[in-house]
Amino acid sequence: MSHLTDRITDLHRNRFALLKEKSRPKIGWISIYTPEEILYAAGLIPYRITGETRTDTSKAGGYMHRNICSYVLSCLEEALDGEHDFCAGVLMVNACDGRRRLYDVWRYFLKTPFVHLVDLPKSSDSAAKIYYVQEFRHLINTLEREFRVRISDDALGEAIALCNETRTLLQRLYALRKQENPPISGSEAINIVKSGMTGLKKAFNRELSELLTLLREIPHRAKNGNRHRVLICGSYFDQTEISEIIEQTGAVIVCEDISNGVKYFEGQVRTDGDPVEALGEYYMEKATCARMVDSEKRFDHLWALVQEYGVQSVIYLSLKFCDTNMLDFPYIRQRLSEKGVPVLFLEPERTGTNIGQISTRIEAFMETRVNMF
Amino acid sequence: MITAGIDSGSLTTKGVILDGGQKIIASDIRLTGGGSKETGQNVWREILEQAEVSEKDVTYVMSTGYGRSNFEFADKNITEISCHAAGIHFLFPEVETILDIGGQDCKAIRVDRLGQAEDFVMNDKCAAGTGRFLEVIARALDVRLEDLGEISQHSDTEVRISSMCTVFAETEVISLVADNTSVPDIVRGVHRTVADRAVTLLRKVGITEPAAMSGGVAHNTGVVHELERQLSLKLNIPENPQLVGAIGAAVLARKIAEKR
Repeated sequence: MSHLTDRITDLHRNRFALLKEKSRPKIGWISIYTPEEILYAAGLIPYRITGETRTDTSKAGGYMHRNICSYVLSCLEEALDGEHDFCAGVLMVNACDGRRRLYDVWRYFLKTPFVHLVDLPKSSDSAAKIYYVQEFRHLINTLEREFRVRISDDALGEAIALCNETRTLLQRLYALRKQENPPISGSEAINIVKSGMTGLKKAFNRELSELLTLLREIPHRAKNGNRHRVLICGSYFDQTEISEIIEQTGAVIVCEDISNGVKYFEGQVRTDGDPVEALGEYYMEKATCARMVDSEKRFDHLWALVQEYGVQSVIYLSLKFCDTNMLDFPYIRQRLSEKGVPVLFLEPERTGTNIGQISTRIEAFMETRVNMF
Repeated sequence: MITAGIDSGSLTTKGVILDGGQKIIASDIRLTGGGSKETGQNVWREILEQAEVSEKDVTYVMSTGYGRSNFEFADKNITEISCHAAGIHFLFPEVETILDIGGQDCKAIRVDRLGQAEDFVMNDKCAAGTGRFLEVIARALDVRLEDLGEISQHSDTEVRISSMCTVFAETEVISLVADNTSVPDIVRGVHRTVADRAVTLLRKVGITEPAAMSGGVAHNTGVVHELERQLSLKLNIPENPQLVGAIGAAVLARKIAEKR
């Protein structure tokens, strides 16, 4: 049964080999505010750079200060080791200072032919939307010039339909986790979402449809219901060993409010009217990342998830040195405690060096959630 | 009913045997050293011998601490946070706030009326403000760890150690020695930085009286004095603060065995 998700997660596991088989130019990206649709419409293959193959980031440390988060450092380490030499370009978003500096280093020190930065506004009001649409139009012009292509409205429409299908399917998968017995584990969920980001969207959509059918047909995999329901929230997170520690305590992770979770696939891009405007609206509408100005909007979004998924506890993971998530935490904790939802704050590093302490914190937190006497 | 608790800490391993949920009939503390599994087994054998009971007389064994999952003789393991809460509650049933400073970490725990941890905060993965920090300083000053508390009582001038980092604080202490600052003044300054850090943790969980302290650092009267001064309260200190985790484990072992 545990191999049920292997086929779909293989798309992520084997991503470099699979991507290299494709002749179309590949574009790496690092923030979920990247308009993948525009890249698809340009005939390019967008894939997320995860940095996960490197935990030792000593080379990256020569280019960036050590107080940059380990996500950004490990992405740079992969690049410096030539892991991304097959890509024709990288598309960065100034999602945070770390990513902006990654753009600088990548542009100056690496040989990737195309390195472009999309400027994401901090607020998400109507002026910000107009600005972001302009950024997308500028990106389209740049891509057309650089890759000698024309990005037509029809091509954009097709790309939007493809990505919307991925969103719908992932939303259906996550809806299953709202049940009393979620059929997939927290680490499976993250790995599936990551597979959706590898640029192999058609194969992914096909595999996910099949998986959804299988999950409907097979009896429930979960051991029993009545498990403590946990939501994960915070910075870039894909350390499935931490998800496993959480679930080993007897709890069940029902939702991830992170970029490798709901933040990636929520909502739909509207298919009527001007496609670039529709994209600008979509990406500004889902602006609930800690780096945005509006913490209220972020909390309301989190609270809606807590209710939808029947969440009993929140585990807030702020990657070491991820200041946007760290600074937002006191507000989030205060709002959650007003509503009676306990929250555990963790500051993991990708190197996993502090896993023993992380695990003690998780276990102790869970022990405070159950009545021992 | 006889139950036991083994606390496999970073520096020392502790063991306790509890009779009837009331009386401690055996206890042992020894350095964990290089093999936490082996040391745990030695402690286990020692307390059985002391209590003059055999393994099968013990109804339930609970392990805790960093090495908690290493022992085959334990029926279950539970984190030291829950065990310190249960241990302090056993010794001082009224206590609501606990500060535990052990060999490599420092935690503030809020405990409910039943003796269960309600909330807690732990220090980050560094030795600042822990027992290890005091060890490093004692070595740098060439005095015995257990004498630090007494030495600090002879201080007459306030010295500030500004660095929180163990390595940098050691450098700072060496500079003070070079400046001919008296050892008691330096030691008092060091105790103050340990207390500063602990008070910050305590404020995060909220301080409600009565409060207690557990862990090896509670042996150090200088740190305790500094904490009481900063918090303007009296800390309940167990007779043997290092045993609190193991006592709590034995108490929880009984609770669980009773529920079965």
